[in-house]
Amino acid sequence: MGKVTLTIDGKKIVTDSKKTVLEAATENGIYIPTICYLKKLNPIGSCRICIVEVEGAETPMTSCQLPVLEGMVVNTKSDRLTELRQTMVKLILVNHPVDCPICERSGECKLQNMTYDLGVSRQTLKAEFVKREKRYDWRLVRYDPYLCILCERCIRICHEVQGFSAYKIRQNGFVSVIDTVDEKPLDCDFCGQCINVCPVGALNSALVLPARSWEFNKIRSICAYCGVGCSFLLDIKKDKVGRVFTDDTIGMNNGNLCAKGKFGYQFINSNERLMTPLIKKGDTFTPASWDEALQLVGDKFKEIKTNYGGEAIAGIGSERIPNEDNYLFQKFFRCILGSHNIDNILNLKNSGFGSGLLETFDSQIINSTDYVYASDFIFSIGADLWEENPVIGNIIRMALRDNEAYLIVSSSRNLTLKPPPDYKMVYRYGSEIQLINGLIKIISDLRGRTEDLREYSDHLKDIRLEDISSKTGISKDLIETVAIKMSKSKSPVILCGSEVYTHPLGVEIVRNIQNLANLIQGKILLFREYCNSQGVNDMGVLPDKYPGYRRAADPEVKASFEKSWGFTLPHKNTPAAGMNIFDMAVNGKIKAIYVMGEDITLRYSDGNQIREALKKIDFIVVQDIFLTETAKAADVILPSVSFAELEGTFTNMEGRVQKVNRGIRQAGKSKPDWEIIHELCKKMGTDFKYSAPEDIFKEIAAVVPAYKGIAYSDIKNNGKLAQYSIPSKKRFTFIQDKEIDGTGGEDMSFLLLSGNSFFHLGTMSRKSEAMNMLTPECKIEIQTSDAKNLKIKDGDRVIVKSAHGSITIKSKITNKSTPGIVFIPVNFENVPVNLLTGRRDTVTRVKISKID
Amino acid sequence: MNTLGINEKKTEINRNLQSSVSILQPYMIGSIPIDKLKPKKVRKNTELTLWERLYIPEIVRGMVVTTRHFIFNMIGFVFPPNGKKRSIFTVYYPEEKLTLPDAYRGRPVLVMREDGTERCVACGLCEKICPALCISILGGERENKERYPTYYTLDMSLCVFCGFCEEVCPKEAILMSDEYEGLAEYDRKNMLYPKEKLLVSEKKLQKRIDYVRKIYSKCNY
Repeated sequence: MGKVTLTIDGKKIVTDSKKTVLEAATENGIYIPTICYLKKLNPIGSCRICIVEVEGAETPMTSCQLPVLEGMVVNTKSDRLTELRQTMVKLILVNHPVDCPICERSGECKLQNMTYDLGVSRQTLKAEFVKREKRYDWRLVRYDPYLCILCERCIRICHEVQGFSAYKIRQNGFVSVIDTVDEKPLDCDFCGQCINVCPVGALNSALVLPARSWEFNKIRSICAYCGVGCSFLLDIKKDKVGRVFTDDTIGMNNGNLCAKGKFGYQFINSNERLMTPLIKKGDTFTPASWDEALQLVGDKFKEIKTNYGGEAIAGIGSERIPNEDNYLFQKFFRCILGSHNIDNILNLKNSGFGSGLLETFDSQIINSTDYVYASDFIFSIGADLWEENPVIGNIIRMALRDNEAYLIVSSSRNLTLKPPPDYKMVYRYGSEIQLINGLIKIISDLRGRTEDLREYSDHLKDIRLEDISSKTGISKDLIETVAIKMSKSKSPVILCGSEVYTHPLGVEIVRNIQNLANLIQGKILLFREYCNSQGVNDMGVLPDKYPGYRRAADPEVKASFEKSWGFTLPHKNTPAAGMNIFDMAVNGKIKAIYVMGEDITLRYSDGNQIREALKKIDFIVVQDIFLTETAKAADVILPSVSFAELEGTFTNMEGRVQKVNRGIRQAGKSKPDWEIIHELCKKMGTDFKYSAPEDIFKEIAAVVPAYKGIAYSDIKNNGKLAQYSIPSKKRFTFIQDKEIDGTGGEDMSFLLLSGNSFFHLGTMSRKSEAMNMLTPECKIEIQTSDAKNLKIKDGDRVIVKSAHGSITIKSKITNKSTPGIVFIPVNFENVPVNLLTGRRDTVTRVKISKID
Repeated sequence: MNTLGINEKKTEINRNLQSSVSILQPYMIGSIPIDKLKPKKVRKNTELTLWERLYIPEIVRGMVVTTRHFIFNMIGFVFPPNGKKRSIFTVYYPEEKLTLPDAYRGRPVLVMREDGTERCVACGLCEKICPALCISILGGERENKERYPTYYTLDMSLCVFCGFCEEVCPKEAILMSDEYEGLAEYDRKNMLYPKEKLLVSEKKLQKRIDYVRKIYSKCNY
């Protein structure tokens, strides 16, 4: 990129030759007014307010579209320009009613600000009144055509960043309005990006703003849904979250949000929130005071500890709760109860991505999303890219736009992606390792055998592309084309999605992906399901690891933690292989369980086992914000708070430690999790003497090696990346293809996959009305030809039966599923999918029959 | 000197008004045309004169005023003039009540339409302008897509009866009524008036609505 020297307002500026005049001016502190320009979008110059005079050119030009040239002399301020800009604003205002006192966007409206800035006090122009139709039928989006200034920001962001291209301009001239492409009511991703970027009040959320924009107290926070960890602003008035808004300058998400982040905040102020501690007496819950409830829990734990030992008490940490609370949780268990029986759902599902994170993998699999944006080749495996972590999808689209990157999507489901990827590979479920081996073979053949690959090459000889093609169901040519593109790329990135991390052979697949990444010098990005899935493991809510993934069985580690914590820690007994907390509970070894912020009944993979285990456990304490399925089985329920009411840090899928700020008062008598545990410790005779989450974080930074050097006060807008010390050795280990064990009889021919539906994540989003409106009920996704064979129509009720159990569910006929695979979302408490599935290391086959 | 500037401004206002509203000329304050208004003479020096410093004469002057009121009041009470009971200085409250001028600002109320709904659209301008910060609103939406306040409280213990809320309201939804009784409470909690307590029907407030239209319309529209 060459450098260019130009003069703007008499100031000599040296800048990159690819920039525009507006960018160059803004970087050097010269203000050029504009309405339609947005940094993350391509400029189209529709508002024409950013006009500048260039010496030698007769007419003024729009600076947002004007590339810098050598020796250019630009003038941004002159009487002529001011007059022209005023005329432009007047022209826009001709059709824009000045309803500012009742407009939602008043106070932050770009047009309003521009009218004041340019001193437009009187309208001299007139236009014929055109009757337009306000759109209220676009579900979560509302459009007021009278206020629209046709800047096309919504069209551009929908096209360039969200990739949905839902909008267009209908008709032209004075009567032109924004409309959906098919002129039907809007049915899109409902990311709300168009609302965020609208400079005036034309596009609004259907969740009515309870107050005016200036009344809101803006609290910077982190989205508590998926593992991306988007930064946003919670607009709060009177302890009520009025809306969620973004700022393009903060966070890794560049101002982008998905539907859950933008509209899924209603659970915070839900009426169903737990307000007081509840104690089960007989069959009903009776409200109790904190003192009473914690005394009961403390006494019970003490009793069980003296009778059965500390190991009889188990704990489940949460992927949705900040690091500090999880850290204190495990410290409470290890120091006071003397139990190593703590775990989290992610680790219970697949310990390779939990406790074994640093041991199983040879090189870094947690990387910054900056690599994705800078990449020229993106290969995703097992990820429903646009739906799983939608904001990563936005980053990819911007990489496709700016770097002209290649996008190759491979999945066992036939995903419909907008815009379509360069190549799409639909493999058979279970043949992932084969596919990667095939790619490795072609690339290593192209590159020639290097030293590292010597051992590996013996295995590669046996691989025949024809076999791979027949096993994976992808044509040989396609694999070859992709491999050739991959070998030519400069900075490839490989994304591993939910299909990989929930796969029975997930760890093997990721290890094989590492081989591929080593070969092409690529970066791997492992997706995470929840906002603190990474953090809960870092904090050592694991049965075999102390914080920072330090082995509990190691006496030296034990000694060092005893020294730093000042408590005698329990010895780690190695349990029988494959035994987890719920196995032990079924065997009667667990007498009490303390579940913090997790609905284990619905989330644990083996639904029958967890229900049996909860029946056998004598004393269950659940700490949550809603009366979940697990909480219904509890003896004591402790009300906790949502992310808007607490302070702490989340670690997202990139290992970025980001701060959550407290915005509103705690609902009812509820308390933050760390405070509850702290109080409970006091009741049991120990005072940890923490006064704020900051104190706990200081201890975390001292104990966890990855968080070393992160000061709580230093975690600002973009967070801090934790440094995981994985030895980055280039090692090639050949991964042999394995058969996956399946459960199910001979008549059970369908493979069951489960995951999150697009508008839901976990069961938290089910408490948000807007999300429920978009996806109100659970539907099984069946492929069209399968449905034809079974004679099932869209919306029919079907019975899904597996070796473990059966459920009744509505059907949805779609081409997204491939033949032989059905998909059920896990988010609905009335359809517990885990009743069908068994242990994680198997796949489930099901039989589908129609109810007449 | 700067009178020129004022005149210019004035003519500008007049020109605007002429173009938009024809009834309102000439520009009036109360019943006096603005051109006839003269600035009041204000004595600027605050130092007391010798006469005032002598103290006794001033006391006598004050006593004269008090005595005059007392005598007039007494005569008016004993021999009431025709038509009236007496010429008034003292009102025997609560048996007697003053007839309040149109401009009187009593407690602020919300205007209720005939169907029982409020005129307010929860625009939040009264909340913004209130110098005592006594108003607090949360907005919502009716089924017919009309905005309304789901929550509207007015803290009467903070209200200073300035009438800014009435002036700023674009919907004539909040008005200063002529009610001044029953505002005192023993408990401050009772002085936080919820929406239900603030609503008064349109009919009762018709007089004030007319007045508000008369005095504010000339500047606002």
